[in-house]
Amino acid sequence: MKLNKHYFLILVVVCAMFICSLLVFYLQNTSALKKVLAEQNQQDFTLTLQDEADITELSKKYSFMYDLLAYKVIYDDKNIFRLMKDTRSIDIPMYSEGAAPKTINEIAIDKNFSQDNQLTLGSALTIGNRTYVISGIFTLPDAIMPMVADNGLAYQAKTQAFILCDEAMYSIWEELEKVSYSGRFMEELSEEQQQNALAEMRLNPNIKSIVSKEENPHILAALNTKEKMFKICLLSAVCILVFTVIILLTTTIIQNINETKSDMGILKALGYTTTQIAKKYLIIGVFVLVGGVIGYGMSSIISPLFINRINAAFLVPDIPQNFNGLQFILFIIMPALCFSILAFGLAVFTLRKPPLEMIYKTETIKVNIFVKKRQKRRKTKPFRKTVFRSIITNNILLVFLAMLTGFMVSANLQIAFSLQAMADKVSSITLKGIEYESNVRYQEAKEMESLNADTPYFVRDCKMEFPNGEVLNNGQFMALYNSMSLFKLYSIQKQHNIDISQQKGIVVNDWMRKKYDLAIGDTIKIYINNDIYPLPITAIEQSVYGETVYGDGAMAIQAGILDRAVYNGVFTADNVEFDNKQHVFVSKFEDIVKSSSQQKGTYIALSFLFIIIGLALSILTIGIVVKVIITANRKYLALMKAFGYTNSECNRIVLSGFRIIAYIGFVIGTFYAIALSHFLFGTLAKSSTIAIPMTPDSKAIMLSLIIFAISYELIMLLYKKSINAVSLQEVMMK
Amino acid sequence: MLKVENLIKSYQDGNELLYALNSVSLTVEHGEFVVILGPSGSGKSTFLNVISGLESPDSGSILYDDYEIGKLQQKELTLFRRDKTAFIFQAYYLLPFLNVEANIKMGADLKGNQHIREIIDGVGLGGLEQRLPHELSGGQQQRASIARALAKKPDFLFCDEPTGALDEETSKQILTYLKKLQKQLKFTIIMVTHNSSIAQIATKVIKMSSGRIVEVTNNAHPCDVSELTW
Ligand SMILES: Nc1ncnc2c1ncn2[C@@H]1O[C@H](COP(=O)(O)OP(=O)(O)OP(=O)(O)O)[C@@H](O)[C@H]1O
Ligand SMILES: [Mg+2]
Repeated sequence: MKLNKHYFLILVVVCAMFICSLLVFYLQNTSALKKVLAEQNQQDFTLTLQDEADITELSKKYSFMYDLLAYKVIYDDKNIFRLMKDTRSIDIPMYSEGAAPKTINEIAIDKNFSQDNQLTLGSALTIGNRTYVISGIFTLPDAIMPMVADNGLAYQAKTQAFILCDEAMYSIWEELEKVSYSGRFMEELSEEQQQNALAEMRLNPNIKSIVSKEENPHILAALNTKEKMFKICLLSAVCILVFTVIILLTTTIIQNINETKSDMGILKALGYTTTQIAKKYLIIGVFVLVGGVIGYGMSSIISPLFINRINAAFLVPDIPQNFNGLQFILFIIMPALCFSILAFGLAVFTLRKPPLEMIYKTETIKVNIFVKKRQKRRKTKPFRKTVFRSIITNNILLVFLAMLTGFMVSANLQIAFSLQAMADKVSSITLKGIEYESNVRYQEAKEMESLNADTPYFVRDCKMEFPNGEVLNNGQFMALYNSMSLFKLYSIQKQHNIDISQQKGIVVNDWMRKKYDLAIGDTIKIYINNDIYPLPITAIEQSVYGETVYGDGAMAIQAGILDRAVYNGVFTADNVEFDNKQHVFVSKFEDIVKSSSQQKGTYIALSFLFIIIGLALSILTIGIVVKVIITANRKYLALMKAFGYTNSECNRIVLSGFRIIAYIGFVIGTFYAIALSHFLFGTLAKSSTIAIPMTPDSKAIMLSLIIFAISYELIMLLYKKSINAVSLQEVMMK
Repeated sequence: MLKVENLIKSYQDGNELLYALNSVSLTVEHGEFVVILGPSGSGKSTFLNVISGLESPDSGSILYDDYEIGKLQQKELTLFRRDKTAFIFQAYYLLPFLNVEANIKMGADLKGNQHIREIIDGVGLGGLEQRLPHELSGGQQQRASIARALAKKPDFLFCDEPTGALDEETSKQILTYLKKLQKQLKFTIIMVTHNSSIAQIATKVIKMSSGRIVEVTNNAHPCDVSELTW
């Protein structure tokens, strides 16, 4: 009674590997991320105050701690630097190498900048006309999707840097200091109290603007979305996986016990006790343990690679991959123990039967009445059909597993493709309507006379109040002057561009519609400098994020928001170079394309995870099905061959019936995937600033089907070999 | 006619070659009942397997009516077996999850034989078609395996100790059926056995020892199964 079946061992190892690596991967990446952020004392909100306001008073009133967020932005020929003092108590920088700068000649730089420019500790970096030595390399929790320069330029790690320096060096630079505060609520405040405090602060006249970390689209919302995305995707993948692996392992154990049943019967007949016989099955735990350890090791290699891919677009702190004793016990020792006990229990259960019954393997005999009746009715059923039906009625688990094969490929691949389609859609919507080369914001408003042929606009900061009572403090109103502009607003519902000059009210985007529960016809109160302008919503455009509402220039003048036709920005087809004397920012089309493709990379990486999991598990499962059938029927396959059945006939008789079952599984998986992706993306859309459009995709279904068909046939081709390998000698042996 | 010449089959036994068949020659006419006797390990089963196309010889020729099967590829051998041969084993090897009828169809379907009824009745299994193998006695199982073999209408029936696990009464029953069906269907029987009494009903008796045929006896007047002294 040895566990001499080679495949069984491999299987157990592989299964355990999968469980452990994924679980560990999931846990390390989500919880470690949180922990790192907590250690860095992550902010809850960012504040800017009216000139006369007092921050200490406010902090007492709303019980939060605060930290001055002061910085200077320095431009040189190539790079933009955000210079900050290294005195933070909130959003504490985490040094991955080196330490904080201590002298006037030292600085610390962010990790992305150091990587992209191959700067290491001790390297020299020139800012303006001064050269500094790098004393440390850090990451910041409030700069996950950073805005280095406030000028709307998309973040580029290579040319934009965060610099930490000491007081003395900071004061040398004469650039204008920008000041805001980061705040973090005291520990004792509950989630609800925090929300109330935030709501009150929004209405406080001393506070110019307040942005909670959740609604800050450029900094932390990106992380939140990512974290949620990550959680939902990984969790659902892990759930499918764990479920499948448990079934696979249990099936294999049952199968193994069945195969060794007659040996067990003989031992029992010889007088061995149940425990003596069954305890040998405890060894299964050792295999699971070995697999688990391998998997644990694997995950520590795989997850950093994967995380790096996902983090390519963000500045996220390094996640330390520490050995975690609790995880090790929970995901490696526990499963090993459980499967040992399960195997032992099943063996004991089997051993309850009298030895003779076990020796003659009576389990193959309980063909149910259903089959007998059918056979009686249709007597002329050919041999090949009866064989297949007997195989599956005797081991209904095989049907289930075969179905699982199709199911897993279809579900995982389609979720993967949906992810990719979603990434495509998000990025195409981001780019939709953008026909300009540069978006230039001037420091001073200009008269219409100096207007050139491009698309001018005027933007002002405003506060908005929505019909449901919610308030948006840091909104923007953009007056557009040209309906045929280089910047088009697109209505998905109406499937055409919105002609801004025809709008007697304002246009809001889809994300705002969802977030504030808006509809066409609702009135939004726009507050500009203590004046209130109620304006109706006349159209909804399909941007996936942003806190800007749009209106026609003429309408804005009529409503009194603007007193004459001026503009402070322009969308232009020219490639304008940023000039910090003249421009607030210049944002370029190519930057938007770049950042959107980086985002896309994240989703593509996730989708590959799904594809790999789906295919690997499916191959594993169908492998088990085939192996089980072949091992259980070796003798009879050999006999059929002796009688003159050819290899391909044997193959067809025994295996081909599973094809249709697997395809049924595929169909079920398709429905599952459609339902799951609706749920997934629905949840995601609600929790992020990004509105995600989602439709079931026939192309994805086709593609998954093709991939499934090909891999299924390939696997079957491989296993055909193992049927061919069943030798005739096996019949001749007793 | 089956004509075997200088058949050699060896197995690796440690460092040495073990000759299970050492230059064996034999001729068998159509419709004969050949019994192969010999001590254990003398090469009887090996001989049966090689001449029936289950195993390939190292050298030598096996001619079935001038058709040489000694050097055929696996695939062609399979087609040969499908066409010409059938087997009965001591351990029956009925498919345990199929009932008697389905088991017999395994043979019948290979030749598109629609008339399995007669064979079932011929081996005396009428009424037991729906039973599963474990619901039959050893003798009944062996009869089912005879029916399965004959349902494919073989020219040659190879039997390796078909009565080895059965008592005298049942063995005689099996042999009676075999003889009866041979008369009806006109096939050749080549049977390996340890029981020398069976030699009395054979038309040719072959004695093997250490991989060689040491004696061939032709029996012009084989006796009937009922006259057998066990
Ligand atoms: N596959 C094999 N590998 C190695 N040696 C083998 C193999 N098959 C048979 N032999 C050897 O060949 C010799 C002849 O074996 P064979 O089975 O033909 O004997 P037998 O006459 O049928 O014996 P028995 O009456 O016990 O069935 C024996 O010594 C056996 O050990
Ligand atoms: Mg033998």
